[in-house]
Amino acid sequence: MTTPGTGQAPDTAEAVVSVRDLKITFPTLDGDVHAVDGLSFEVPAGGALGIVGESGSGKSATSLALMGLHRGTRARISGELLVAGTDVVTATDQQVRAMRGNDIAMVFQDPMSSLHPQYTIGNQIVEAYRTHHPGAGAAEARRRAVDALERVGIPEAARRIHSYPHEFSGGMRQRVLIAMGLVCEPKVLLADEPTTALDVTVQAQILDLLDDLRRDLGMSLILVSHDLAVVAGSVDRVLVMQKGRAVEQGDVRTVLSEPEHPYTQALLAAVPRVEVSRAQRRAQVRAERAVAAEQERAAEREHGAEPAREPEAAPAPPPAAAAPAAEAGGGEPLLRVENVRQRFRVRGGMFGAASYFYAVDDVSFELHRGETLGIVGESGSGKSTLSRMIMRLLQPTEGRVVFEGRDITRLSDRQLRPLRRDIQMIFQNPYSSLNPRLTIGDSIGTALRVQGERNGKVVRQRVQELLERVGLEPAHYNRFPHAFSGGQRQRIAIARALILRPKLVICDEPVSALDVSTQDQVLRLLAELQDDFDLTLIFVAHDLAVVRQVSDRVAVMRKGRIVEMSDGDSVYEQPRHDYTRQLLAAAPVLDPDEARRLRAERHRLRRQAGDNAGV
Amino acid sequence: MTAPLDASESADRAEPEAITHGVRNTANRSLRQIAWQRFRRDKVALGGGIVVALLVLIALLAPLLTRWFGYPPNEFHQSLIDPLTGGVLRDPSDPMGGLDPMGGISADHLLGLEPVNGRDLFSRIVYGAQISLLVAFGATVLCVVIGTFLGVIAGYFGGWVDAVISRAMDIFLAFPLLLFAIALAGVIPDGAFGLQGNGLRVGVIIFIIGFFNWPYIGRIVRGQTLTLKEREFVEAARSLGASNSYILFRELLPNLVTPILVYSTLLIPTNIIFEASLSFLGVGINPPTPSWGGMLSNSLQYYTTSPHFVIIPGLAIFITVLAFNLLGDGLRDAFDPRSTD
Repeated sequence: MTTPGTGQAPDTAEAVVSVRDLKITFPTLDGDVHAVDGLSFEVPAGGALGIVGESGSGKSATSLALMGLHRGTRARISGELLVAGTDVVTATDQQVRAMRGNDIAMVFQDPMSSLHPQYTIGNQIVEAYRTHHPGAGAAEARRRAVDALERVGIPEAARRIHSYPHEFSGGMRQRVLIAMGLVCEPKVLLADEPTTALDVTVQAQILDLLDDLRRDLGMSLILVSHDLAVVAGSVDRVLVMQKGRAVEQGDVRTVLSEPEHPYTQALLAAVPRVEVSRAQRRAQVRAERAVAAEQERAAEREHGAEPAREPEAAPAPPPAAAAPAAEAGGGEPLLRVENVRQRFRVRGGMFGAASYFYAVDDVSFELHRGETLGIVGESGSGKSTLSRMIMRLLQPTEGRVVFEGRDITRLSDRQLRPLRRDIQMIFQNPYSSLNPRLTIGDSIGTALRVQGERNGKVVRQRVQELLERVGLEPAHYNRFPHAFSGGQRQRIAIARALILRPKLVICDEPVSALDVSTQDQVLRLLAELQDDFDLTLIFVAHDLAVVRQVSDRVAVMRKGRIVEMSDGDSVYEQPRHDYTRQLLAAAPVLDPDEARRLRAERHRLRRQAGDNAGV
Repeated sequence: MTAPLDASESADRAEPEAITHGVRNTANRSLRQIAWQRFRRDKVALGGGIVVALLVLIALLAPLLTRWFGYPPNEFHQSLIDPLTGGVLRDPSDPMGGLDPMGGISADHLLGLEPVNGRDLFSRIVYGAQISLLVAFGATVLCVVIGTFLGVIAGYFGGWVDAVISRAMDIFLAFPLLLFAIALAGVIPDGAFGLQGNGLRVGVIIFIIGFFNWPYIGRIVRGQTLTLKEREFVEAARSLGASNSYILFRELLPNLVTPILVYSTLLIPTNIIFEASLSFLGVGINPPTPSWGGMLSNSLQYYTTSPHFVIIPGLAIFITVLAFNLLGDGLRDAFDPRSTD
């Protein structure tokens, strides 16, 4: 099968990877789990395949099986798995070892934990090479390692080869891992969520690198991701997986522009798009709610008018699209942040003097009732520190935080307690923000108890009302967090933040740990709740598209400072600061042609920046 | 590209599915129930657990068991003993008939007889279990209480509090415990703290073991607390206005129960051996109260004539320690989230 389009597609249809009727089963206490159930696909030499699906769809099990890494585990595997002529299912251990590295190399998700901290990177790459070329001399292996590092864009490779992993940033480590994969010149590079742990700009660089390598070295690429937008610009063909099966498979342009399967359509619809503005998105969500409410009423009339279940939580029809930020400018702002700075101490060496750095450096803004402020920035930009200062989990080193006209900068824990009713926070990681040993009812109810509610019945009733409001069942009250998926956990965390009826909610990357489709649901929920509970939001995220859709105003942060702040649309449509432009160019987009155009744009920007590398 | 406004219908359809999909069928089970399921399938650990349960029962029911199957633990049966060697006679009616190689094990005396005095070994082992388990449990509880309290405080507050408590742990661990115990047993007069005789001895042993072994638990709890307090749920509780004590006891402690439980189970056998060693050295329980260590210590004089007297208390200690260790290992595996299946 030839792949039209990219121009780089190989002319022969010889498949390097061919999978037929792959089944992977894990035995568990609750019976067998079919992680992969009858999957078939092929990757031609030099071709690129994207495997897309939510967590639990079986995409990672598939990539581990391709590497033969299921061996020695309890996984049962059947079908045919040909990698460059080796059938991974039936091959001997020795054959599989020879295949790994030589024929297929893998780049793992988390560059922070995939490198051995005690060896220099050079050591690790040389080891990878000499394992497969036992005859190669030390000098030869070292030369190869330097070549590979240069190939992946590590500056001064010959010197850096003696560095340890902790001396590199996340993006650089991912490059080192790719270099390690490349050193044996494999026919296939398998990248399993290679950019999920990275910032947007670094993600773009890594994807560009993978694309370059594929073109220059003629490798095949298998790119596994939960995000269609990540694979869109880098592959020829896409395979969409759901619950262990391929629901759709085909040319990337066709699948993205005319998806056939409803699941693919849903996935596509869920991808946040930079080009969709806040107003469009709000209108859309509200219109859908109105339709849903109408249908519900109709259904109720049919079923003999069951009394409305939502007592006071939701005024059923959404308020007309009255701009909530209309009152901006008039009256006292809900929150005023004045020149706050947060200083952290960095320990020196054994005798070295400790030095200081400012995680947040002179940030000021005002926030009015009903408004949503989006804060965008990459890791290390100080956005989380800023939100923790407003939340007063941290005390600002300098500056003032004024809430409803009251200076809360130096209040003690005890004085803060009543204030907690008004300011709440939704945390990034729903897996660590819920206490695993408390039932979710207890977790949500904690707030009420801490604030002095002694009546257990009242607590229970209010928690159950809210559970229902965030789309869970009241009967879930006594369940433990581990019984819920990531998206559900984030709903629970939202319920916990809302139970005190706060005025201001700070959302610290509330969806960045979630799959794209779950992200969309949680964002919708937040939008609804903002209407119903009359919330003012600070929405912190690294994803530009997500921020645009929820924010009235957007602040772009870099190195502790706000580099640009204005109403959302103008940040996106007429970015003034170079850094904002960089971020926008790095955001993954769904349209493959647009993605290629942006890639070219990034190349241009990078050349302009004078090739001063450094991820 | 499709306009975003009309792509939403399918997204709506995707929602309920995604929700039900996430709830696994472990839904209503707590972590502890899951651990129990795993534990039940671990036959070795289950065996250890059963033996431990039996031992506790034996210790509790000692008076009844000895009445049904044996004799009072301090009753002499010298008619069955060879007065010359102190060994057990093969045939009590024939004092010249030689010694019983089995040490008098019979339906009447299930584990045979003690040399010289001819006390019933079964009864003494059963009563010895009382002392061993009492000391082991008591000392372990003391370790856990002190260790958990100080460990959680050190881990949570950090800074100078942590420094002080951690150095205290180092000091306690560096203490020559056995020598101290021997010295203390000689120094404390009978009747101190309103306790007399063996009551005092048991109390002192529990105190010594518990008071000097808590850093083992303390370090584990401190380490766990250090990682737990970085989790966002602690920050979430703070942002809801929870006080430090609320966070310590309501949020952190439930997460520490499992490691504490597991390490206590592994600490108990060490404490059993420690008690046996003290009794062996003669600073444990006073005779004639039976204790396993004391019996072992006595038996060494008679190992040529009455080998069973060495073997039986030795086996009792061996089986108890092994059972607790197997149980502890099993619990650790069952509660370990990283273990497969």
